[in-house]
Amino acid sequence: MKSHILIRSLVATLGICLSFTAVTSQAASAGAKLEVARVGLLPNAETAAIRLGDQKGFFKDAGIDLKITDTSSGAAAITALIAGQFDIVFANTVSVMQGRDKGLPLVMVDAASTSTGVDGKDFSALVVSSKNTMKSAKELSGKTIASNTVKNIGEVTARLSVAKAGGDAASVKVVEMPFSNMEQALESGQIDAAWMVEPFNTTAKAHGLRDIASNYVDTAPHLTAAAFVSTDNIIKSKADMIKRFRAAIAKTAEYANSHPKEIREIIPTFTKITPQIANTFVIPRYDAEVNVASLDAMLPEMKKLGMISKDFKAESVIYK
Amino acid sequence: MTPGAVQSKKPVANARVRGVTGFIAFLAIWEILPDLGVLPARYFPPFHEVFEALARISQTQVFWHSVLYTTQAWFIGLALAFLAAALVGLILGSIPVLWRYTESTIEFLRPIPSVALIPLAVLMFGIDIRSALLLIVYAAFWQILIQILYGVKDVDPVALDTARVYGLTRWSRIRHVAWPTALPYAITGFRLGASVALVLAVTAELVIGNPGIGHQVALAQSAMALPEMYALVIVAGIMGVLVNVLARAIERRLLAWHPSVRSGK
Amino acid sequence: MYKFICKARTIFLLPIALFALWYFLSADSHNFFFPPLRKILGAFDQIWLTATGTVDIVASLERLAIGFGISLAFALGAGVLLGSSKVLRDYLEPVFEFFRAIPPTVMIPVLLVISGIGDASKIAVISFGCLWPMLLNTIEGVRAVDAVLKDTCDIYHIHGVSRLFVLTLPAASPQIITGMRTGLSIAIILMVISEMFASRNGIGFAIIQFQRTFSIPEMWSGILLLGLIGVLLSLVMRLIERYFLSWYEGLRARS
Repeated sequence: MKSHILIRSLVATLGICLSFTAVTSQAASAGAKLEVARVGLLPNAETAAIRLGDQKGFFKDAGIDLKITDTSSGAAAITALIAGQFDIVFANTVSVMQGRDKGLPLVMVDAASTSTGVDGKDFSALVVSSKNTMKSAKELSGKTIASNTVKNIGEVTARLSVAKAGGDAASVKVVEMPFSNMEQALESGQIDAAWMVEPFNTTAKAHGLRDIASNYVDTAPHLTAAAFVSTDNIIKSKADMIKRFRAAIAKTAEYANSHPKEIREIIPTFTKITPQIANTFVIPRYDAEVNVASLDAMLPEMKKLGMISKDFKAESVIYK
Repeated sequence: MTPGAVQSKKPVANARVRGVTGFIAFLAIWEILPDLGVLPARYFPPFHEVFEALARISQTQVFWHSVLYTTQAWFIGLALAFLAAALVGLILGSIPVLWRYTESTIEFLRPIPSVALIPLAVLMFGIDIRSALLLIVYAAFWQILIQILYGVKDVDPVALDTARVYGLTRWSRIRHVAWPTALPYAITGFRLGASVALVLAVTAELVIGNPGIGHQVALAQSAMALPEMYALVIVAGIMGVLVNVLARAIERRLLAWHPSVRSGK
Repeated sequence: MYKFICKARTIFLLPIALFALWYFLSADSHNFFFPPLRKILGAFDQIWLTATGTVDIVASLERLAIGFGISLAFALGAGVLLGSSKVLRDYLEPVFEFFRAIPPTVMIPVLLVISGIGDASKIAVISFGCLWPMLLNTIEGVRAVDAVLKDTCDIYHIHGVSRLFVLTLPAASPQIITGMRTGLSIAIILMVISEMFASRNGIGFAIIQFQRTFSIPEMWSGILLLGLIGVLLSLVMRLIERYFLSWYEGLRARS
């Protein structure tokens, strides 16, 4: 009757496993008097500020226990948010607006990362190979640009850069590839330019490549690239927690913008970015206020690309 | 060789030695080609770098947690799939009417690639072990079910009739006649399902991003930490081998009594 | 005629009933992630039965065919070679078994690094993944060719190429086809997953785009399409099996 033993032991082990996971998750969420805020963050430099703020205790002071989980992309984070897995997630503003447009009840509670507004010294750039002689984004008409996903904030702002420089934005071809492959693709001539964010563009520059445009800067002054997003429901049912979260973010933003050294120090602790790179690359501005005008600036291009419906207004996603 | 001579142990030992030699040769090639520049070392680090990376990451907590997460998802998914498949298989197998009407549905649902459910899993569960479980259970369930159905079909009708004549209830017939016949097939199904479950577990982590070895591979790749990436691929392979070995060991243990195993392969 | 209707009834009754159930249960659905089946079917028509949709489907199936074809050719060639030589088998099988144990999807990031974006790396992924089951099964099939049959061929001086086609391949075909079946399902999985990374066309690519832009009915239509393709390809596999293995099934039925 060995099969019975097998089945019984399988069921028993299964039961032990399940109860173990249940117990550990319960224990983790028993966070005493602080209200838990489940937050989904990308493991990148743009989320350094909120993590620093958490470390400094700004959130505890506001009565919030930040439970951070890593997410893999803005869209995935938003999906998890809707599925009830998070209270607040970090997502790029283009994905948020697209979601709202399709009917998801998304609201930008705060800005998460903002462009520095300095041409040539932003954390986002269009990079070309070391052998490329192009002088401006205008020459990218009809060429191929790489973005980490197609039809995202990178593509939208890249096309706007080309248009601003006087080129033909519609003729640009965009292909998708991971950031880590872009340098190789540029040097081998597979693509003409690549949209890169830190730390990839600083790493590329160290290898002799150069940037020809700061696409976020070309799009709008101080573009809000990413935001902390929640849903209508959560804002209503956890209104007080959201208010305190915003207060903590405001404090965090101020601290982060005035203590760039600590930001650079915390980055290697939650990413695979080395301290050498972290000390040299451009960090974003960590403003708390969403720049609505900058979002509006992206809408015409998004509408042209069929990414969003014609009557969408950016203020529909702003926290009120 | 004289008739009746005792088979010496040498052939098996020779095979083992050759196998090990083959492995070493492969590793040597891996070491030499990038060094010689035949393979670009920037994208294909020589083996010793990968080995160093492996030694390094095996000392980190993150690594062992990842192994644990993957194993957890694999185990729970496999167990759930097995229980469900055993239940469904036995019921379908013993009630012919049911089987006739569900056969086409099963044949239709079975080839649906489990990865088609990835967007659905993400929507329903987000970056959570349950996304992985959805995929794992779906894929492994069909593997195991098909095998159990083969097994139930193989049941000796004479034995079944005899049982019925002696007044055994349907449940007893299942327990004492159908199940032992189906068991070898169920175990084969378990073995096949076990490797499918591992593939899906790692795939889910790679694509969806829930914690585990697959996710670590994705992280290593996006940071262009190539020696780490290759090291993690090797770890995934080792896990695959272990799953296989484990499944085969269980197979041999549980089926020691079965004629197909005892005939001495 | 009556028999035909009865047979048709057992085959189609449950699937049609389930489909209808899905249709009517979801008709009033307001759940964002589970739209009415009606909408999904509408999206199916709009997306996949048009020119752009067909481009994606063709691109995917092309890569699948090429990747699978390359692996099959290699598996047959190397499989026959290794199956006939114990020495070669002893040296190489352990390494091959290790490669087979690697979950093929983790090779995607690796091949992305090695062969970049573009069709080459996707075809490489598909090839790598489906090669091992087919290769190892072919080796096993060739190895286990009945000794009596081999001796008979020797007696009749059947060697070389004709031996390959008269004895080796037919005798190994049940194992080879089993390997092909496993290889095909792995190839389909890899076809879909490889298109979810760094791609510019394909069914998997389209589905992921739909998911990213929250175009949910379209995403579901893609899932349906994949299911259909899976079913169709497995039917094709069945036909191939029946054509090559009719003798085998008859033999087994007798014993």
